[in-house]
Amino acid sequence: MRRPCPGVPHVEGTSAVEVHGLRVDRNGQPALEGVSFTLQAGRLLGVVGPNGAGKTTLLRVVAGDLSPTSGEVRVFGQRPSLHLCIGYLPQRAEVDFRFPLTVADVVAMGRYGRLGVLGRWGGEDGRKVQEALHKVGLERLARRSIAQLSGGERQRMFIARALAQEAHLLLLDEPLAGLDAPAQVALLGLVHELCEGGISVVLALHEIGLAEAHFPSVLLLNRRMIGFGSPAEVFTTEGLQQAYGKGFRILEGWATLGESCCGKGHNHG
Amino acid sequence: MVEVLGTPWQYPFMVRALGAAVIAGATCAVVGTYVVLRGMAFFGDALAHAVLPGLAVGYLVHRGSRGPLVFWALGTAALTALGIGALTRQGKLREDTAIGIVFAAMFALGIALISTVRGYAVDLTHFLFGNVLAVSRTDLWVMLGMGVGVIAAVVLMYRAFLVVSFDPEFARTMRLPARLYGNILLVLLAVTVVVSLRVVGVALVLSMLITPPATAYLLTRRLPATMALAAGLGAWAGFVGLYVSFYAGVAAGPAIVLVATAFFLVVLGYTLVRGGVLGRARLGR
Repeated sequence: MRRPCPGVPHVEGTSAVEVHGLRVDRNGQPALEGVSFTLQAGRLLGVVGPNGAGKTTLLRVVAGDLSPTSGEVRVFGQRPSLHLCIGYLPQRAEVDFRFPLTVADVVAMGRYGRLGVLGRWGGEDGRKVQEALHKVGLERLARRSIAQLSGGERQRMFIARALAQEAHLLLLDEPLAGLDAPAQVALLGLVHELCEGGISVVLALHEIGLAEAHFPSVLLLNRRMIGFGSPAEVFTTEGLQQAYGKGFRILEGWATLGESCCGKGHNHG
Repeated sequence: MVEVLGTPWQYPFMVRALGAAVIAGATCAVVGTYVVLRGMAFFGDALAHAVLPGLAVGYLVHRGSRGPLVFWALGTAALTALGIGALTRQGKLREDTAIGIVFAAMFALGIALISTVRGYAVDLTHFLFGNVLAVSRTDLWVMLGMGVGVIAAVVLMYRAFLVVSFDPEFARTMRLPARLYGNILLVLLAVTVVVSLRVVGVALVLSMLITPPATAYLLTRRLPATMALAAGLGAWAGFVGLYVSFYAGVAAGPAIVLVATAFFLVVLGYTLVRGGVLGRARLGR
């Protein structure tokens, strides 16, 4: 069983994420408006939209890193910025991979929120780091310099850090971008496993095919919410044209791209 | 050989100089590791130069007495560090532009103030390039206190500094006050600059800050090891530099800097020739 969030007690019986009438202005212009959705605990939501649609803005608001201009955002019934159990993976981590750190060092940072600046590192902290590395399949790379990781391994390392953090909610901003098809499918397999383990996941992506094939529910955005529901309900020609423009057409078979290569059990780098 | 090694230490001023060089070398290297990793080399150099007006005012106010200068320098450095920090957060100007403006202006102000004193050239030289052979017992104790304080702070706040430097966005989701720790680091850098002023002077502090950590970085894979090795290299450069100064008759500050640079070049050559796992991973990028 997952341990309680050290930041703030979760309200019993609430959803993982509840957003009502969200609007966010950046530089005086609305960057995002009319967004309302609910995500149950242990479920997976894909946030889909073109570049600049506000996917990152939405994730940052749910992470508590950005304040909404109006509307309400609740994570497990509380204000997002109070939580220490939200694992947020930015699209382009402001991270310098030349830092002299090993994979295990980075994953260990997940424990810092619980430990605080001065708390003593204990046996349980070490075990959580090991478990997290095992879960994402990076055990054998634990002592490797982060400079030597591939793109997929970097994403796994940051997911492991969120697991070491004992995150209840994972926010992944375009984790599939820059990965080859097998690595994308392997990462999605990992995400599904995490959901089965009770973690709620919001994942931003722009490949409609992948969203259709792998996500039980999706939210289609283009500065405002166009649709929320199952891919079949949301990815209508009309909805997609609203998001991507009139020229958009659904190509037959596009959705199955990359699927046939391998099953979920494979760990591609 | 024993005689050659032992001779310098018959002079009490050389022993005090050794103490000062070792303290400055180690302190600079520990804080300097973050300077190197965060890409703050220009900021560190600017901070060192910006201390000059503080030294100048202290010099004019206290005439001849060198003790209080340290505190004038410390005040100026801390103010400049936080001032540049605030200026760069405005976002209108690029960070290096903002730093450059403050840096050059403060340096000019310092020289202007000192130049009001007749026969200022010797004192100015000492401010710029250090005067480690003139360190008094009191100076040494002040340096030791500040150096130990800085290193203790870096060790105690290791997790916070690491997370804030490596991944500021993650630090925010950990609800760590990133700006507070950023500012603490700047103040520690200011104290470090002041600790090393007597050893290498305003113009050469940068080398003590970045050369030993850069050398250690080439040889290590984990941050604590980088810091420890950098501290050792910094202290060792101080020790060897004083020998060079004593026997070759060159100024102590530049001698220490050149020794530290020689260490760096040897290690760089070694990693290039060896081209092993570490060498490829680090230098290839």
